[in-house]
Amino acid sequence: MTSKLVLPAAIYSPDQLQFCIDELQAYGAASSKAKATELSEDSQLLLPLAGAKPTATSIGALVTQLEVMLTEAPRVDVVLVAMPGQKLKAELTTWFRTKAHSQSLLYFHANPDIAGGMIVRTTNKVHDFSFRSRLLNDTDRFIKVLDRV
Amino acid sequence: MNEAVIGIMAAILGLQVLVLASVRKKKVAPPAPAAEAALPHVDVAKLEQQAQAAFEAAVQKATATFDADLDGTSEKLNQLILRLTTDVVEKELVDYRNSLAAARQSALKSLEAMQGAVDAEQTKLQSDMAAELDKRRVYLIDKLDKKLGAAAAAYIVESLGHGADLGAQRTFLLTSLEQHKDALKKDISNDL
Repeated sequence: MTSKLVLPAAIYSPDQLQFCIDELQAYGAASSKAKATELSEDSQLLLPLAGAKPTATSIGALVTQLEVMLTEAPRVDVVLVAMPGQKLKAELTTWFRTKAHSQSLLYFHANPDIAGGMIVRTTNKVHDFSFRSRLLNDTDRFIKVLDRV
Repeated sequence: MNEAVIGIMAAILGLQVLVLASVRKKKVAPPAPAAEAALPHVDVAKLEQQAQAAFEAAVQKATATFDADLDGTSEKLNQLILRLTTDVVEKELVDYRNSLAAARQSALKSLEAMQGAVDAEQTKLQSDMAAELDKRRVYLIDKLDKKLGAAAAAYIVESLGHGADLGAQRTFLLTSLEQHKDALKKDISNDL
């Protein structure tokens, strides 16, 4: 079974999704005893996917779809020079979900050694767009630039 | 050589004297008994004296002539020997001078050739050394550039890592993703 859900950009990582799944599962089990406002912001963003008036059944179905997504969605590691803010995370997540795969889940990492830019790691490949690799792999050009200074 | 010629001349003179002496003996050989009985002993003595005087005069004349001839011949021989010797010595000297000149020319040529070879070798060595120095200089400059580039890049990398502003890099990040969109899409799709 393949999930066709599209997650909001604010929910970008597998850990977040797992947390939301656990929360929604507990919320669905609690049925009318629990309040939606007690859920986290991320889970509140997902709750409308269970319908305009979510029931225990619809929430259960949503959780199942989310679990399928969690196992099937492609995972991408994004390494930046520093940990990005929420806005940048959302922008990058939106890019991946619109241009690469609609259900991409991202892990964000910080590594000052890359100096700038980003490194994108998938299961099989590393795409290095970092400043470090551009500087260290083309020192001739760097020297020519220094000569012009 | 003069001594040999004089010796020969003396031998010839002695022979002539012997010949003349034998002729005299023949001339004074005892007459036939018939002629001796015809002449008185006073005339025989007178004839003998006359013959003796004529003989001695002839011998003296021959001796004088021989002396003169001998002197002339000796002189001529001396001159001839001197000329020959001088000619030979001169010829030898000329030959010696010629061979000296030839040897000097040959030595000069060899020296010139050697000098030329040394000069050519020196020029080649100088140009080879200059080329080698140039190559070495270019290599060292290139190496220095690389090391310098690597050091500067490493410094910049390390410096940029601290206090980096991701907001300023936002455009670059999105542009990089856009430039490699197809590869990323293919890679992520293949993971599934």
